[in-house]
Amino acid sequence: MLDVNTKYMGVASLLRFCILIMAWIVGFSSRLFAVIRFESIIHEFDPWFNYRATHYMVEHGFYKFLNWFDERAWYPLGRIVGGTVYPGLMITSGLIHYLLSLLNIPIHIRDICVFLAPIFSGLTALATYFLTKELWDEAAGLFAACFIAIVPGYISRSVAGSYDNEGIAIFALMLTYYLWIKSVKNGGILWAMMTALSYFYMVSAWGGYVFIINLIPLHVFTLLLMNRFSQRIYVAYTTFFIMGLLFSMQIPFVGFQPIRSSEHMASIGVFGLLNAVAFLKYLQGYFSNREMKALIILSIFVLVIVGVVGLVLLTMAGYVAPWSGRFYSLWDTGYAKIHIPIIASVSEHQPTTWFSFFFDLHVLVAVFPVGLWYCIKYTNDERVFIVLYAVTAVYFAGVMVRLMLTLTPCVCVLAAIAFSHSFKLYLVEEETVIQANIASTPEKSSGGGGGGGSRKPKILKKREGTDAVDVPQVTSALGNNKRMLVIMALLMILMLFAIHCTWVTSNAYSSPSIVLASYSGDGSRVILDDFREAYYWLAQNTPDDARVMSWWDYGYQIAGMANRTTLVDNNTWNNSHIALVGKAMSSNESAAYEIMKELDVDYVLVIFGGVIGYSGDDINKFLWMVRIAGGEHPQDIRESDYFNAKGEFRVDTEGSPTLLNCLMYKLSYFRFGEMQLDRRSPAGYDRTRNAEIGNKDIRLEHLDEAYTTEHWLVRIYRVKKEANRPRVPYAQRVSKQKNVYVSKKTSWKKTGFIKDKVGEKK
Amino acid sequence: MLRVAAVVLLGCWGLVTAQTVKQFENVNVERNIDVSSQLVRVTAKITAENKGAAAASSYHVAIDADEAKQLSYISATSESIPLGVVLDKAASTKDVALYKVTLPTSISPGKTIKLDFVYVLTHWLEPFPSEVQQDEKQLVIYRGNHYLFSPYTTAKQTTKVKLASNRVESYTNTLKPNAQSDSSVTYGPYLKIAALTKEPFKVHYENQNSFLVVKNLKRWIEVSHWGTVQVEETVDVKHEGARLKGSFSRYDFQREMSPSAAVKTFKTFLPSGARDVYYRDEIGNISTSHLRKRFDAVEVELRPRFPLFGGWKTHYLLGYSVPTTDFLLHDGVDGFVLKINFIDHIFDDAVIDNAVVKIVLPEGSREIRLKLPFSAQRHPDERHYTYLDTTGRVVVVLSKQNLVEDHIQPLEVHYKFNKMRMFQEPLLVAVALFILFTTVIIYVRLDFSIRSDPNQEQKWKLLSLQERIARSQDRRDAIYAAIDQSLAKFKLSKDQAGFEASLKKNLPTQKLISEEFAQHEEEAKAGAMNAALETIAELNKLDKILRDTLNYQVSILEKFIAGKLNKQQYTDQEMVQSKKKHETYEKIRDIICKL
Repeated sequence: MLDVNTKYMGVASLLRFCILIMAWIVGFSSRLFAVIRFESIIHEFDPWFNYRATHYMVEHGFYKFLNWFDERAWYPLGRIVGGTVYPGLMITSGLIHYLLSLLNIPIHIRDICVFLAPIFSGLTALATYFLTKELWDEAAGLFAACFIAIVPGYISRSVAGSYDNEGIAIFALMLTYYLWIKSVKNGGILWAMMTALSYFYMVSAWGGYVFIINLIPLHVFTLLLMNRFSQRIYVAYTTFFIMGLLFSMQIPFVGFQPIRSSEHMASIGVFGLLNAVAFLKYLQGYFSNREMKALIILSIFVLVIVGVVGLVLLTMAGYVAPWSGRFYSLWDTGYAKIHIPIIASVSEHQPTTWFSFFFDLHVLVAVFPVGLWYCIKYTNDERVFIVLYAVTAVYFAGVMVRLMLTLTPCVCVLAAIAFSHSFKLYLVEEETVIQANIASTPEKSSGGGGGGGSRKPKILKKREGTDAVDVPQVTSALGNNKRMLVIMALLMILMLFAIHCTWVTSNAYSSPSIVLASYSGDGSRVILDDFREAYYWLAQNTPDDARVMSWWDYGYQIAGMANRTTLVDNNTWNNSHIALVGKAMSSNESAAYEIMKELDVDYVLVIFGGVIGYSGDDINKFLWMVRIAGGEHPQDIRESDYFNAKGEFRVDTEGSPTLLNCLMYKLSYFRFGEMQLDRRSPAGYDRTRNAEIGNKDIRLEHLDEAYTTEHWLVRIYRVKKEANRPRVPYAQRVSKQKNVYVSKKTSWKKTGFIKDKVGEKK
Repeated sequence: MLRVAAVVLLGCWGLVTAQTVKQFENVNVERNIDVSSQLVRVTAKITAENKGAAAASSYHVAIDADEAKQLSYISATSESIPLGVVLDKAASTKDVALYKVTLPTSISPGKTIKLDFVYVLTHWLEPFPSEVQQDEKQLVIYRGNHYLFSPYTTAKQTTKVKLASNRVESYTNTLKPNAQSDSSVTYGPYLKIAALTKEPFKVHYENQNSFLVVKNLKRWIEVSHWGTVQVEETVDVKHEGARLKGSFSRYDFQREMSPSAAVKTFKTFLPSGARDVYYRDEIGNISTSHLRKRFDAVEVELRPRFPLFGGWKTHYLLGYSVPTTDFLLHDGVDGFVLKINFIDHIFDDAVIDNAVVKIVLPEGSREIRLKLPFSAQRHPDERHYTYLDTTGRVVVVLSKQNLVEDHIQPLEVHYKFNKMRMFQEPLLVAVALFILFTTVIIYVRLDFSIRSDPNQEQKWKLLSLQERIARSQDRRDAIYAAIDQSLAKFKLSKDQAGFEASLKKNLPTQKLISEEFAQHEEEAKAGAMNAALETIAELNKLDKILRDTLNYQVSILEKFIAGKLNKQQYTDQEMVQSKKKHETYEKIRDIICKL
């Protein structure tokens, strides 16, 4: 009997291993659509900065990187990169590069950057497996690993080439949670230390660490409220908090924030509370019940008062920073739109639609409440955690599309629990129900006893059990047909889920966005490579120190691909600088020229999609520029000026004259009025906005067309230097020549002179 | 006046060197100057007669100092036999560079020889005006000499200048006869020209051909004995024609149909076996290229990311691999010869200002010898480390300035390489994996904890005891099941003897198991394993209940058979007992499961 079990155990662990490896491989390969369709290239905007920073670090070394002052960004301000980035991502890929080069494996840092997120998705799958295993059982863990490997909500941020913080941060997040659960379960300092280390990695990688440092205290707080205080929690939290605090302050960008900003105050409060509770528990032995009650009430009262008053005082004194704007927008979705247009202008900061929940999570979004319910029904210390995680993450995901990412892992875990439980109910035959339950839920054995029966594989007995109440064993009898029906249905749903994931990944999340592809009439693929065309032109044919003005979206790309100085970029730290650029774009040409002269601009870059019908161009973003500029310069730029009398934003003849004469309009449509795209439409027909442009005769006085890409997607203009001898327009001249004087020596005047000396009106 | 002075001066020089070189007279010279591309390609057909007293074995060719600076390539043939051409440093001065051509046979006095002689100048044509607008044509000036610059007197010569188009702005019209027809200008025939005479002329004409110059070429050739030679060329290209003035208008560029001097595409020919061709730059693949396989070459149509106007430049990488069969030859034991072009075709009429060729030989190559088709600079060898290299690969570094297509000639690298070293790297991987797995095996199998845990031992003991208890209980269950079965049979067959027989068979085993339990109990007592003790006590208790029930069942069955009980009574009692039995079984199962 024992032999049979060892054999079975071997098969089981092999199966487990294979499933995890397969999850890794599938997760990795489903993220490669973009690489196979296009090439190994960094995507979008932020990844370009990360890549550039990584490249800098690999080239110049870590310390140079920490001290890097980037004079090519935010001209003329510059940017202290080392102190304003989360370096975890760069260090991770730099480390991989370093290790590989030690082994003499020459691999370009770009390829490491491109494939980092897919590789880490495998690690995330592993971390999720372990987390789910701790929360429920191994079967659910395997489900969770498979789910997280392919779920679109996570793939959206981790396809090959999407070299962004989130790619590694989700792994760090799941690992921290797993280690936290582990340390809550066994109360060891070792595990709590590991949690803190993992938290350190998370802090170094992503600003989303704030989620952890609020969720874990919330967990502890809830456990206290549920009267589940134990030494384990005390040890785990105090160790984690202190070490995590110290670690997190090592990151230059974070610095003293953990003790000075409101986002972190909850963790400090819970730390105090936990210690107070521990102290009261200690006192319990010395006091009678009644005394104790009074003491508790008193101390709670005092603690709350002292805490709140202290916090308010510190905030008012300026020691503790109030909530940051981005944080406010989490509570009030309308906040950003009114107060911080720059945050609202980013599409990923918009509230999530119901559609995108289904799009990103498919069946999981429907199933995870079941898992949640199981976790609430069979609750224990660690399941409280996942419940809290789910509740908070669902809220945040509803507020911002971007935070869908934090919801995804927890949905995977809970849906895995639901699926695993259902399968167990229907898949396992009656006689073997109990056996299967034992085999797959090792932690069900009571903590103290840890006994073993003949039916139990030996290896499972080694694992420590929990003291928690657990899910009752399923013994209900079900008919074979019923069982088959349910299993088939579940399998079908899972299959559809897999298909959906692949479809979404392939269609929605695998576009590098700097290379566009379109399909021509005969089905062949046409690649529109205009962005790189323009950036490379800048890189090759402009002076090395040329300053390029563009809207901030393209800042990182210009710096990364063209290696030229930019005025503003995607690190939108200086709103007024961005507003200045927005003002230049939305003023008329001569006013813009003054601003451009002040900012030493050599080239202006605009994105224009009118020829190919690309909707993400600058004219479509233009209102945001106006809004941001108007926020800082209300006397010069008014949003209402850019709408016509009917309140419409139009580029055709009915558009407002301010719009039709502003710099952005001119630069976008310069000489476009002459261009006839096809025979049916008139010349100057904008395909993006489906309108014939209103101002076809655009003349540029201070700018020159320097380069326009093949499909007109990127247009670059050279800012003319001031003429050596300024030409005064006729209308501005003080003394106006009535008739052209021809100097000729006549009889009555022998010497020549200049009549009506031309002067400038000042 | 000045010119005369120059001629006189040169004449004096001519007298000085007369003894050494002035042996020939050019009877007839036909010179072709091809300036239709960015290059100046001069071909001269010379018929020379030995006017000296002695037989001559060499002939001298003169290039004037200005041209010598831009001279890229020079060669001579005599009736299509290639001849050696070397710079005669001793005879050259700062105004004249003399090249010595070794003749195939020595020419005795009075005999004539026909020589064909070619040289190529780069960066010689001057765009004028130097800046043009996008829609303007590119005009260039060629400055040349009416006469072939030669250290010998020339009896008769004609010169034909081949231009790129028939649009000629102006040409020097001082020395008659001359003529312009279509796209060429002819000077001559001129008679009796003294040695080293300079009579400059210039032609200003339209040349819309690309003035594309490779500023830097890095050619990386990596040899792998596994079957490929990997070639990667890093190219810096610049359009050195007339610079673009003012703005570039995409609208005009797209509308414009007539050819302009801007370079949109160019073709590169790769060796015929080339595969895995890639065309990229720092920011990724350049998606605009086409590959066509020809019977003798692979043609790649490269389109830079943007059209190249005058003064614009770009940079790209072109890589491919070719099978070693075409390039690597055996040369004795362990000896190999790599025969590959010093430079390869980049585009037609290319000028390469600076070329660096790096040849990476396999790890462990030794006795490296180099055979070059022309002189080039060799730099100290470098080391290159790639996949799993330990000692590194030898890199032979060569460089040369100012090259043209005529320099596409093979070089040879001879080296020795032990073939067994090919297996070094696969073995390395195998060994590394072996070590890894061994370590894992050792780690898993052995206990590396620093101190032994007494509790751990206790736990193990407990576990093993519990396991044995469970096993014993299993067997006991089996016996009860057997008894149950025989009881059922007995109920049907009413065969008391058979039932008793089966009882007899099973009861000893049951006793045995009870003894086992006693042993377990003792062991548990000895080890102070309370959990196990409790389990055993409980199991025994349940066992007793089970036994009692069974006995009772047997007794009521016997009674029923004997007729002491009627059917109704029996069934009722039986039901009660069965239920009790089942409950007990359940309890036992629970206990076992909890273990």
